[in-house]
Amino acid sequence: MGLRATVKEGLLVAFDSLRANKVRSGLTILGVTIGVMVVLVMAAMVQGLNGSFKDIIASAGPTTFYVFHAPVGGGGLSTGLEEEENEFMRNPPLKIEWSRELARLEPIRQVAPGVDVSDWGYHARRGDTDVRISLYGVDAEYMDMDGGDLVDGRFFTATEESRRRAVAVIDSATAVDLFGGLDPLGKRFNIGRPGQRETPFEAVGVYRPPDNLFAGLKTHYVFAPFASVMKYVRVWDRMVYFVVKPHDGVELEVALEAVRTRMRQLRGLSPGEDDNFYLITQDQVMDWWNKFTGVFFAVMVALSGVGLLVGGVGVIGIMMISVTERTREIGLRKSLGARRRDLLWQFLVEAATLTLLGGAIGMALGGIIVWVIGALTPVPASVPLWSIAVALLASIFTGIGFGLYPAARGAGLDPVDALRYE
Amino acid sequence: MSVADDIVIHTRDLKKHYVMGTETVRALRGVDVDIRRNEYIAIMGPSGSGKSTLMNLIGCLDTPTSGEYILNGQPVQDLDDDDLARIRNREIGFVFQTFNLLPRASALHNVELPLIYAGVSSRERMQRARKALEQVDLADRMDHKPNELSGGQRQRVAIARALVNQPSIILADEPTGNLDSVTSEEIMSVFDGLHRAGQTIIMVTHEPHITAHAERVITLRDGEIESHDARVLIPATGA
Repeated sequence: MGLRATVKEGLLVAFDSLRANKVRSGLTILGVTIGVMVVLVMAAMVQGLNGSFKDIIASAGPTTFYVFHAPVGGGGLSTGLEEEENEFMRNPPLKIEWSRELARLEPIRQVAPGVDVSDWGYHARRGDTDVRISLYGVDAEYMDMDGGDLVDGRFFTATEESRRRAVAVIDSATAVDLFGGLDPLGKRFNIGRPGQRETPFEAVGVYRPPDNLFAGLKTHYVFAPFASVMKYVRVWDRMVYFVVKPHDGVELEVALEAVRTRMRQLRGLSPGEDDNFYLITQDQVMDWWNKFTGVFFAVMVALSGVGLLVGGVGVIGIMMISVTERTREIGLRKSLGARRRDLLWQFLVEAATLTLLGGAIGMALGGIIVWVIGALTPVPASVPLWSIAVALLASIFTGIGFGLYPAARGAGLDPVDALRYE
Repeated sequence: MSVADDIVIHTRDLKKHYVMGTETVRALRGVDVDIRRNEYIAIMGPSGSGKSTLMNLIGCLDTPTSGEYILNGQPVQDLDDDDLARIRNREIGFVFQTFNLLPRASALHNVELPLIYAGVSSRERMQRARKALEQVDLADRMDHKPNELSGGQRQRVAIARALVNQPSIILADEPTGNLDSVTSEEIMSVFDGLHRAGQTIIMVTHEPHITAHAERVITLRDGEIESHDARVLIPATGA
């Protein structure tokens, strides 16, 4: 018997039994459906987030790297390790004038100091209106790297930065909360922390965060020139970092080595001592990110594995019933010349059809969910082709793997006994 | 091999023992049967006489404990499961008391089944299955499912299925057991027609009037052959 005819016969039987036992089959494949749906949605999310993250890194330039005084966890999130906390306090902060020293290095085009105090409880106030803001001290070219847009006004200029003007670009949320319906451009508001001295800043532009996944994490962005923030707002100097951009065509390793050597001199380290600063490249940021999404993904794969396992156990149950119900049919088919492996294939195809159908339904549902996520959130979720292949294969193999025992039992029946079965 | 050319079935000292717990049931105690091509044989016997066991052995559904069985020139007593499946597929056409059709498949697909296991291409399967159904006068019922057919029609589908792979023998086990007497005669006349066309037929039955259609009756009792022709006991009526 040709494999094609066997598979076709198995498919016929499978669809017959599906038609005859809709509820039973539906419940059986539910676990597979859920498992596949979860895998697909997660793969789409991770894929989308990765794409988004790569875009962010690409807009910053692939050789751009950062100098921190202490280790930072993935994307600025502390890993919470005690050793890192210690270094955060033990290592001296970066001195701002070092950024000019580093910028003089031959492979380096530009060094921009920055300060991220978005989590430090700064507020913007205008009259009685008061909102908590995410404050960043950046350079005039920040917008090019960030990928966000200006919806109104302009970003601050290099001149304003060098003159330490108290100007700021605010996001739409801050603009609405602080100025209501009024045009914020040219208007002043105060920046400070509760109970401390406040400094008036002039709003020069309205900013819209980039349409990527991090857009939703923070709100009420306020960007001001780094030097102005350092001058007017009392920020902790341990929050300062440098953004280093090498010249085009310079090998990242060369630039890193030059900066490391100069930093060691500036730090006054003797040859035996360890670095007490950290150079973070985009690759490392990407690594952290991949580790983070990898864990996320592994958890999801495990969860969907549970779904497939539940589905698989259901397959064992339903196939045992199916084999028992069709004992006489097995006897008949054997009397007509079916070999053990013909029947084995028939039952495996039946089991795999069930789970594949479950997987296909799961993919359809997952596809809808992904589409909804893409339409309603900034996460650019898209279903990668490999995940479709993996989902389909996983459902087929669930059917075959878990169908094997009942199929072997059915295929191994003695034809005389099977024909006599009532 | 000393078996004559026109002998389809040849058994010598065929024995089948079943072990039931501590007891050994000797279902067949040494059976010698020779059946020639185009013979029409009835196998009779009370229940427990071993006629089902003999039928299972002749049909290659089971293997003997000892003895010799040559089917169509080929010794089959020592074949493995796959070879036995192949023999059943090519050499034997089964007809069962309960028809044993696949309930959700059309008459045509039911008749196609043996050809699927024979590895016949789908086009040829269709042609041959159609022809077999025409042979049993069901050309107009090919697409009907078993539950849309009468008992007699179902058994004719089963006969078509038995015929479709041109087997050496048709092995019918109480083929009229589930049919009324009028339909029984209709089915028996189908077998008669096949026999006239040259088909070898072996029929297991316990109904004496059915044996009237056969040329020779083998009667079993207690696992042994009691007589080789029982027709003298019953006057042939409907033949």
